[in-house]
Amino acid sequence: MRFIDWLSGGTVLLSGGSLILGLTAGVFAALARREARTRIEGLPKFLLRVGVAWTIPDPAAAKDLLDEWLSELHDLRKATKGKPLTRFIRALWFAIHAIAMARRSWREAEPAPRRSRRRRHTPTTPTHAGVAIDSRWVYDQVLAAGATGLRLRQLVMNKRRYLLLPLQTPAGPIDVLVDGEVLDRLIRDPVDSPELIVGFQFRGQHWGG
Amino acid sequence: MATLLAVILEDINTPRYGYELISATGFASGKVHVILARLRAAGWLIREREDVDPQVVGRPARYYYRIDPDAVGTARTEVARLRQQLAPARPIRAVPQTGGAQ
Repeated sequence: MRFIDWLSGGTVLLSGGSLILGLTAGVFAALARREARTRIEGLPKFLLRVGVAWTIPDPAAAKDLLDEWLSELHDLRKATKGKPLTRFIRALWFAIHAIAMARRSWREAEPAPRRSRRRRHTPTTPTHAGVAIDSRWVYDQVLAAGATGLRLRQLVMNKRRYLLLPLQTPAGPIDVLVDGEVLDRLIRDPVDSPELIVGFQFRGQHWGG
Repeated sequence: MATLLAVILEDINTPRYGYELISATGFASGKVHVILARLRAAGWLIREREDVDPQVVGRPARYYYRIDPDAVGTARTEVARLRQQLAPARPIRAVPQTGGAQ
């Protein structure tokens, strides 16, 4: 009788223990799943942080880019809400591609003197900091144009090069978009000729041929 | 570059942010940001940080891009020119061969 009592007591204890063990294991498994999910979801953000810090040496520029990309990552995640797999794949792709092009994005946004050497040796690129534009070449109202910092703001598009030229007018400073070919002529052959204004653009207007 | 510029030029008064441009163009994130950086360095685009409190709006502040009013004309011209260049060439009509070699 005592043996039976002991047996049933043991069975109850064993069952209870198993139940507690099972419940604990279940809770741990759920917690582990949740943690794994959180970590996996945070992977793109983590990659972005590490990747940007690793590829961009300038901390201020790195923070600036990271702020922008994290906000976009947030928008991406919001747009794919309810689709965890799609969200993860897209976020991961976003992060990987952003990191892959991070250095290039930074260099493109940087002032030209620190840009690639290849561009510095391009024969059509001005080799000095700026070019003095005679006010008569541009427009009557232009008062002065000095060092223009041309290399700081230039764009090659559709095989044509444009430069932004800051000029002083009675109304204040303005930016003039200049066709690169015209500018090359000015640099190569600085002749005081009104013909050279061909191609200059001023507030949407176009002078010359 | 022209595709992205065309999206921005659709409505020059509406600033766009990166994810919006990625969705609109279908380009990868890195590609969009390289183009944006290039256009910004050239003075064609103006970049502005959204002036909001992230705690209030419940999201990080976005960075918006809008085209410089002085660059609109040139940008439109270039986009149009590029589209013209990329337009499919007129198909060459096959000349029917009459009386082939015997």
